[in-house]
Amino acid sequence: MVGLFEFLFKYRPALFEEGRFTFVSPGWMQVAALLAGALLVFAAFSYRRPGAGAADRTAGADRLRWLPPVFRSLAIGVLVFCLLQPALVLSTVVPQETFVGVVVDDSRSMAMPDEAAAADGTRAGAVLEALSGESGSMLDRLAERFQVRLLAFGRSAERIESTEQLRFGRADSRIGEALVAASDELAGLPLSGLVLLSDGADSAPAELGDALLTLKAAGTPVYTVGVGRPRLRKDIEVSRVVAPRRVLEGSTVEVEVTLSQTGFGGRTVDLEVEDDGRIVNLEQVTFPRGGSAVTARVMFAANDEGAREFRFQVAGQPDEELLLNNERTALVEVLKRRERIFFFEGEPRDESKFLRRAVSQDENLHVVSMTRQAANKFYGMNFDEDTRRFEGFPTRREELFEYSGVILGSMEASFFTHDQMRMLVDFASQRGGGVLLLGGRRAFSEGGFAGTPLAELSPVVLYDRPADQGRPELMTDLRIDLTPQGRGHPATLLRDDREEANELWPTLPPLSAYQRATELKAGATALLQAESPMVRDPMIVLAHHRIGRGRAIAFTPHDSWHWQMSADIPLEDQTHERLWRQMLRWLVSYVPDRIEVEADRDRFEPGSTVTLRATVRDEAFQEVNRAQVVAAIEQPSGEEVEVPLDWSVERDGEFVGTFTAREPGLYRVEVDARSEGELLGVATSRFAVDELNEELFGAARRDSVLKRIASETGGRQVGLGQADRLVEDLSVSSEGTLVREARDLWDMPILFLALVALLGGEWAVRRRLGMA
Amino acid sequence: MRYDPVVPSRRTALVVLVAALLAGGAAALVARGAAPAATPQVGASDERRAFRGRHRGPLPPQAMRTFERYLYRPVHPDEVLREFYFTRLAYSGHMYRGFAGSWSIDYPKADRQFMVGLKRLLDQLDAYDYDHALPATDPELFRFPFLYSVEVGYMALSPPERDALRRYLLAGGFWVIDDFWGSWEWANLERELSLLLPEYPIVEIPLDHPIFHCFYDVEEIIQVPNVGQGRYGGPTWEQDGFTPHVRGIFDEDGRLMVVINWNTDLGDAWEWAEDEWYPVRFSHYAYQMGVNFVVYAMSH
Repeated sequence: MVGLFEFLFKYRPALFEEGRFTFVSPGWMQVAALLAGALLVFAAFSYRRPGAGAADRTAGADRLRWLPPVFRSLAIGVLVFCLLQPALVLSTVVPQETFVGVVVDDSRSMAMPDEAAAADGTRAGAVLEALSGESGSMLDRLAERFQVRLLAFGRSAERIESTEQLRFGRADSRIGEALVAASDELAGLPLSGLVLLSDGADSAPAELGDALLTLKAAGTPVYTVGVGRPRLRKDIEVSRVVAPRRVLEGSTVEVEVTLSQTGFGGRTVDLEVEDDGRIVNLEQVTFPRGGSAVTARVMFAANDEGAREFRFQVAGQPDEELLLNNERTALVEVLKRRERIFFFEGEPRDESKFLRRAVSQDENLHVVSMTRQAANKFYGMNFDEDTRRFEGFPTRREELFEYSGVILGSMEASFFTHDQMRMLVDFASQRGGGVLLLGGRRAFSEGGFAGTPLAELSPVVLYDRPADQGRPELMTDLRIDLTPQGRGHPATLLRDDREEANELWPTLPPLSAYQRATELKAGATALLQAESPMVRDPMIVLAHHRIGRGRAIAFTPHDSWHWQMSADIPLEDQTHERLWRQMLRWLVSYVPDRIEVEADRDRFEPGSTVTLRATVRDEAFQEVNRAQVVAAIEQPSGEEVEVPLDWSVERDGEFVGTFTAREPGLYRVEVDARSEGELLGVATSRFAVDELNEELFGAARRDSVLKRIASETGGRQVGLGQADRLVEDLSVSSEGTLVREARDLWDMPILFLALVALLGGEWAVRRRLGMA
Repeated sequence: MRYDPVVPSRRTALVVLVAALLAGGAAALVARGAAPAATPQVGASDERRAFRGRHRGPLPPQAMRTFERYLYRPVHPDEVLREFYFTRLAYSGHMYRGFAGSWSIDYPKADRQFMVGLKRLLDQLDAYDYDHALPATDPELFRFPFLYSVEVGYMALSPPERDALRRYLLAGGFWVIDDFWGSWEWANLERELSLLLPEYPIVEIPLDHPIFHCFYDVEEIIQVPNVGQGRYGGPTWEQDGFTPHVRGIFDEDGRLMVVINWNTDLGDAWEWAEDEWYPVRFSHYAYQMGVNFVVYAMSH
């Protein structure tokens, strides 16, 4: 399109944008030309007067009669326009008095062999050829007009004297930081702009926008020259891994792995998960034929305590172009600690007994229970010296909020005070805890939850059930099966093998439920459902939804213990135990602590600035801003560094500090939060420092990045073979030592074409009218 | 001088040994003779099967005669499923006082009367109001994790019963044994339990165990006499069972699977609690123990 424009209008649109349009002919010439034009127009309109042959005119011919004068007038107009000597006035640089910085990507990804323009086929080769200085090369063309300064960049840019200093081996390529550094380096010189030679692979953690704003403010246009192919022919890449930062020991870790590919549509590959060299899962992933990426949900058990580096990799395919982007690593801290769960039960029943028993051997779960045996007589179990003792249901937030999860059994809503119900909702929404609502004859709608704050917790729609309706009806013979969302969910994974787990559900003994739950709330997800001859729609068995920071789960059957005691279940079968262990671990996963600390990522390049963010809350989970927070960072060498964290002001309870991590290895952060000398709490976190090779991911030329840099800084994106255009663009830049230059426009091909077309048109019409 | 079963004289020991051998031999003969009759009777009657819709498994043949007395009672209208059933184990056994069915002593009145008290004391418990007896071989037994047995001195479990009961207990069932007396009956139970759960020892349950404190605080083990001796103020003991014991069998996780009330008769104290001549302190204690057993069973 630009080429056509340039053919018709003599110059590229860019020059029209930069320049100013004017007529360079003397003023009287313009007046004379206008008068001549007017006469010609008058003459042309004389065609309209009736003359010879008027009698022969048909009605159709009469309609065309006005065209010849119009064509003639326009043709005269074009000639007049040319006589007025139209011109484009441009500010161009004075040769050799302005500077151009050529910023060259010196990173590893430039060694990719996907640049046809280079003799050796690599991106680096193409760059070296462009900068060789030989006659006709880009550097040569630039040097004809500009003083050229070469800079190489990886993490930042630095001056180089010649291309011999380029190694193309740097692990990082932070384009934004490098351009800002190059602009700073050449500050004070009359700079026409920067020329960026890169594949567009940006490994900077920060968004590019800030750097581009800086460049824009400095008035430094960046002209980007992309190298490499915009799309690899055959490549598989582990593009993204989303893993939890912390899990309980023995939990099933659920990780989302996004695999991208080009040229492997329809192929099935093995995605391996390794923990310290040991394969802990192997998932087969089939790429869609039409699409490029697929997201696989991978699950595996985290059985070893400590900071674990899980590696996700796809074996290299025989004809794959780039193998280094076939793996990614995620740092997951496997915690050996006991999550406290408060189980409040409204009546003695086997469901609660067997539930507690199922998790009693789980060292990471500590279920404290309170069961109502008789009116106002409770039996509390499993309280230890660290937990506050209370009778019945807690009345203070501090008592309830020290738990990570709450299980609410068969207890009617009328038992609770309004404050207690509100506190339970706040437990999920503000404290971020998990609330599990169990089915029972006094739970959900049957327990009068509708219309109370407790209704907010339920992921299923509740209905009003008058108290005088008596005992709710029990729906029996519920054959439970997974919903599509429940397949492969960690809470429903009753066997290590996902397929085996999916097939197991319908074979389990049927259960019964008092809850007639058939409708989900908006935003809720059902994982299990059941068919019942007593209800037309499928019954919701397991569903969950988010409530503020936390989550609420509904499990409607009241006798899952049959899966432990049933005569059809073998004694050694662990289905029931596994169900509740998984369920309760899921309940308390991602529940925030009072004091928390996180680095902004789990892995960094050596020399990166690590931002530590701590959140400080009091016992009632109210954010504390007036606290003294210090992070003690244990480096891989064993040396400890203390970094004070300051209140961020942006958010309540958030404290921020930075630290430069130079040593490769695993770092441990321990944050100590105090208020008026009193210890509020301690939190720990870990991060790793390693060569990440980030730029090898998405290794094809990233035109979107290059285009964005150019457009936001006022530059342009050009190709490797367009040195002339680059020089021209740089020459008309508004920066540097400038001189005005008028470029003629009267000889634009479009004017000639217009003239020919108009006169030709006139002639044709006249012939039609019999006037020629 | 009071007879001390713990330190018997040498002659007494010899007599007991010979008597035990003779009794054992006789019991074995009876059991062998009874076994062939068992198979054809199993599940022969649809009406038997219809006993509240649950008796699908084979019935212990020795118990059949007694059991049938109650089998034909119509299904109770209160048929909704409850959270708790006071389930009595209908086990196989030796001849007892001329009829086979020692499991059914005090049945069903004791069971029903206990439920009356239990429902009043544990008013949040959704309990079935009536008696509920099942043989060990009935697969439905696994739907009722609380089990009660009496007169286990005459219990002689068949291999299928033993297998089912073992599975029941290890899966999470809870078994309360009551109303058997003296060293001879103890020896029988011990033998049965050694076949049932050979790897788990029988131990004395200490008084600080939660089973004595989960609802009522029981500070002392009282010997509860049978109704006859209780009403007429006779001795509280029977045979040579002078000292009451509460013993138990724990699984490897410390969960109490079996509670053995030896040399005491809680069942009679429940059964005759309304009798003006039966001492209230015995009923009082028996209900406390019974309630604690239920609370413990439904929470541990």
